Amino acid sequence: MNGTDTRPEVADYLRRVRAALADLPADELSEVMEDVEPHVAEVLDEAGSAEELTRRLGTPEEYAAELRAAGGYPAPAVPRAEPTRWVAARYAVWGSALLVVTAFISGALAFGHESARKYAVPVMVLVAVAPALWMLVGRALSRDDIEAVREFRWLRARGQAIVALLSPAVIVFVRSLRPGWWLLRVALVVLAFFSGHFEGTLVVVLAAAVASWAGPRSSTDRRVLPIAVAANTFLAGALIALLAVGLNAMHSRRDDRPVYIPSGLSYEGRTLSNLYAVDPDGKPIPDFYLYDEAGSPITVEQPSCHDYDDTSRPGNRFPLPEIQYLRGACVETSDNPFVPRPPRGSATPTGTPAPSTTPGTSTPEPGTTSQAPSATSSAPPTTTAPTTTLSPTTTPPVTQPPVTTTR
Amino acid sequence: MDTSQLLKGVLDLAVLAVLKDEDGYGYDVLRRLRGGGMEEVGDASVYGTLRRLYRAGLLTSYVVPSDEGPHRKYYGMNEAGRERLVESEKAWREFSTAMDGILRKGAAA
Repeated sequence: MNGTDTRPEVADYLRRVRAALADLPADELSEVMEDVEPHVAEVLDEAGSAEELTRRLGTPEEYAAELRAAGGYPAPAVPRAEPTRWVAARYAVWGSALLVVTAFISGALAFGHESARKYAVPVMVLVAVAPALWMLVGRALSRDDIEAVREFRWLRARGQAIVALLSPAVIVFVRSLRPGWWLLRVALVVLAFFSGHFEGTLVVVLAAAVASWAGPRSSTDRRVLPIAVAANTFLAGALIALLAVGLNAMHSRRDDRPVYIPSGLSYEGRTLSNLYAVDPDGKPIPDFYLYDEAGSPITVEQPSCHDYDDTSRPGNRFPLPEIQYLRGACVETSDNPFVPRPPRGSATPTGTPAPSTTPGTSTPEPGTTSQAPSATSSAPPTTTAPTTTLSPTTTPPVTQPPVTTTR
Repeated sequence: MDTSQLLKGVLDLAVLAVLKDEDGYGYDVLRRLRGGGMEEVGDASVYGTLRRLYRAGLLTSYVVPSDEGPHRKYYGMNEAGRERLVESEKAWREFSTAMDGILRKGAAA
């Protein structure tokens, strides 16, 4: 800038005026200084000294304050304003990023599993509130504030890097489709409608409306940009979910899925939780397998302590193990929870030789009545011996280790 | 007495008036005002007023290079400024007449 006054008094005065007005927009400040510079130089010419200059114009700070008041500029920014702005800019960036991510997820959930769908609508409401808050904050923010946030620059660089990976032809093609995007939105709404998910459809209609409103506006008002992006991301998520649901439906219709048989058997309308068998002597049969008339195994869900399917155990093997929790640990037992009464006809002839009440596999020496019918450890009631066979002397407590098969 | 409060309200009109016939840079405007009898007007107030009127779209500005010293930025009136001057002048005359009447009546009472 030629012709600039280089006298130290002028330079010093101008520097202080500029500092006092530093909060003005840069353009306006330079315009103001263009006026003030010749003024101060000229007054110094007349005044002759810095003291006289200050006497006539006041201190640089007073001069700046007077100019500010007459010029209708806002009061000097309080120092606190800077951090607030920083926080607001950061909030805007993070809020927008979060908004876009949640929009995509809730879009995908809107047509997902029933329980997920329940959350999609509230999440979408939240998603709608976030930009509204941001609009309030964003009013005070300039593009420079956003640019100043390091995360924003990082995200933008990543985004640009990803776009750069695509071939230019693809980008040109996608750009050329832009006018037809509204058609895609309409198609999505129709698709959502036919999917039969009411809440999902409602949210998609809302999001499509928001996208149509915010899309064109975002080119002029950058504050709307995150909303436009979020709404479109939500729709993209919803589209993916709808396509997935559609494919899944087609898939499951085509091949016959195995019919799910609820575990358990029923007898005369009553659900049976287990089956037990005894031999003619009333001796429990520890392991047996059930088949129907066609020779197909009658399978039920086998209770197991393991989460995974225990394939080692055939589904038609009975009795089913009983699952118990002892001191927090899962234990499988296969004891008979009762002492079977020997079948009539077979028990009477044999008479006194007691059938063993032990359900275990070990042979309990049928003849020896002195041996107490060993009871199972887990079920004390079984100590009562079968009434038909045993003398009262056999009731004493268990002397034999309980026979328990634990798997 | 301190007339700065009175000046504040009429400074816009005064600045527009002294630029009506001839463009001028800041110090020109200041000198014309002082020459017109506004001795009390503050330098910075005039510069601030010029910027405000410019921002309101009532003035134009252009920079004239100067051989000695810094460039001078000249302000001139545009059509909007002229219209504003006519309106303001009319309002001022009405106000002034009313004020005269009030003062006279007050003095007579």
